[in-house]
Amino acid sequence: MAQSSALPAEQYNYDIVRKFTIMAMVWAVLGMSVGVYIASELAWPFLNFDIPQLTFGRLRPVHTTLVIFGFGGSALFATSYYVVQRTCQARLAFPWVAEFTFWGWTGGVALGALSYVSGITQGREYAEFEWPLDIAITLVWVSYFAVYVETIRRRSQPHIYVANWFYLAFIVAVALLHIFNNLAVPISLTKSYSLFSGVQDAMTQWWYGHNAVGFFLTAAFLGMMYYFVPKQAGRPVYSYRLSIIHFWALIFLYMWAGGHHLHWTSLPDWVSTLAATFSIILLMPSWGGMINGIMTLSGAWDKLRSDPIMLFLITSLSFYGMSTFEGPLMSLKSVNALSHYTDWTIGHVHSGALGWVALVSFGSFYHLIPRLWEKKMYSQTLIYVHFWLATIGIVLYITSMWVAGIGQGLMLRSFDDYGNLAYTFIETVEFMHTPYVWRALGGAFFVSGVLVMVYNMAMTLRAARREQADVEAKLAAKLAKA
Amino acid sequence: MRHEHIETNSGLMLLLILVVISIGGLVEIVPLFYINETIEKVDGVRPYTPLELRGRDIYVREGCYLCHSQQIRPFRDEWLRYGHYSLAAESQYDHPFQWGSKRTGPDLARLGGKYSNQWHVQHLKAPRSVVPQSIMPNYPWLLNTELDTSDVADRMRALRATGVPYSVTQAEYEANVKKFGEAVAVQLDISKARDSLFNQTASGISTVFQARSPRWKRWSLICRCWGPWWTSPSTTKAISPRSVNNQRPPSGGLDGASDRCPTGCCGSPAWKTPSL
Repeated sequence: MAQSSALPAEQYNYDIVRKFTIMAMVWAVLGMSVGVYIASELAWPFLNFDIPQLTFGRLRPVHTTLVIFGFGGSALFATSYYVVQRTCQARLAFPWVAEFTFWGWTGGVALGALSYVSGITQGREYAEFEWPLDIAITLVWVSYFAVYVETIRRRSQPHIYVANWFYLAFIVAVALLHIFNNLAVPISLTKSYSLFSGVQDAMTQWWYGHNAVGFFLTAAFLGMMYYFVPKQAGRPVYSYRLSIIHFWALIFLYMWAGGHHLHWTSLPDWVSTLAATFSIILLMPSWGGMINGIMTLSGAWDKLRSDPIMLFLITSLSFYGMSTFEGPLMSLKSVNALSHYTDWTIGHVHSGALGWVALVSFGSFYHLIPRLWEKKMYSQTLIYVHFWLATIGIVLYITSMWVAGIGQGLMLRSFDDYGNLAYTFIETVEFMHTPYVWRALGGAFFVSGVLVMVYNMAMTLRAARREQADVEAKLAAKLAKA
Repeated sequence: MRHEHIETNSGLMLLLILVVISIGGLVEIVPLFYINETIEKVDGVRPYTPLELRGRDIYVREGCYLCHSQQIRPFRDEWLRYGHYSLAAESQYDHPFQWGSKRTGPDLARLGGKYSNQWHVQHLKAPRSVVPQSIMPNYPWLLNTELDTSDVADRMRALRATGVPYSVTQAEYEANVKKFGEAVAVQLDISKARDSLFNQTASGISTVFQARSPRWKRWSLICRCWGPWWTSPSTTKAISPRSVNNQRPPSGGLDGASDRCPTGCCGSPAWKTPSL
């Protein structure tokens, strides 16, 4: 027993995967709790408490950074390091460099959060890190690239498995986006001015911003999906041909779509029209991925009844399909005229972030944890509890944001019989109070689900540690006897 | 070429990925730097004065862009509510741009001058004391935090490196005089940065503020930098139907020496004006 359990640890580097998995859960709890807190600030502004570090404007980047880069990033590091080793049947290259990516990434995210609450920020959404942290992140990313590519080069399989295509595209694209979007002239350690200004700066930022979604939160998580869904279903990927087509189409088209964040602004019309066109075409490769994932289960649909992990994975793909339909819809100029600047956007992001990104990560982790610690999950029931808390939370969140966003959009553009504006801005703020309360509640549901998972995971790890201690004690006793 | 060649060759795959993901950005972003019509010619747009620059830094620091936009779209309701739609030229000196993506609060692109200084002080200190339904945080610390002016010249130098016409040499100064007028050009002179900052602060303090404690002086630094100073740009195409809420003259230059502050925010006694 002891011998057989030692084997995979020698064959593959699971230590780094374990570290990133634990950190992903830590960031999930912190980042999502901050999310619930700032959602509550919008419903009950007294929660800002006149403390600079707690105001919405400073905490919001903390929320987005901790969930996207902390939770999402760590989940991607963990799964990509696991998947690349398993599918290449090669041990992770450069173990010390991989170790550096862990400490570098974790430290970078933590320092970033601390800098935002202190008011140190570049003022660019999802790229608020000031320049020293940007450089540190670049170093971590280059190391990640080196570890990943070298492991692929050492593969004992001739083919590179499809999940790795997505992870590779994600690593390359994020490097490109990160470097060009963060070009700046520093004046001190804590302040810099972006190299570009105005309209060019806006387009660069949303080229980055949209593809942070496209590559960080989509392509990479599709890589995760391409390993864990077939693995958990015990069936091969539905269509190899479809995976080729939708991979190349997806990474090509995403890069064109950023301009749809700037419809009706000072951005020239030709760019925003081009971006809208590509956004609509993007529906096809997006759904290609969803179909390929969901249809992998064909012939094994009964697993949805017996396997809560499958529930997580398939629900995440459904939310992926839904939000990648909603996205192109919102990129139409006429729809965007109503939806832009409102909470509809916030709801859309969360149907993707909670529904797709978080659920597929949780499903993958539930698959991963028993294999990393060689111990069955402490409780199957708690996985179901987590699933339902998460799903109810997401539904509350996105419905309340539809109400708030579409409601505000309609109020702002309505006129009375004399052609005057029917509502003042502040009346729309008043209207949004009730949906804001529901949204905070939805977020609280989602976070409580995560806490259930953390408890489940902690109990599993404790049992694993106890078992190992038992084995070691027995071994020591045997040795003493001998 | 069969896909098998690609998926058995990591180098080829990496190369193709790089090519495929680069095209979109190259086609959409690079031309923006070269097509002249991207930024239309607008009279009266000028770089920020040292004082305004420091105010803008505070705007960035506090994350105001996460709830407020500075980008008015060409719709009737926005025209009535916020004024003329935003033009690319208006943010040509904005490093970084602060157009925003969410309006939890209203657009601020043409807020300057809409309310009095007094209103802004009260509103930033305790928003609900002037707008009871507001959900904006209180910003009382803006009133008693000393503004660091020591590095304002460094800040201007950094911006100069990005292409903002702050002047160092006499020739650059004269070019600015020609382009923006003398009153503005003086403010854009890096060697006089701190003096300009204090002068503009002093000249802009209205009678309301002069009577109060020195604390108000620091406050006015922030208040007067609130939003871009040009309120209604007039383009060469003369497409500037000014909003009913924004009945201020187009700013042609800096009137720091006059009794009206550059944002125009000292002019209107619009205390508690209901916001549209």
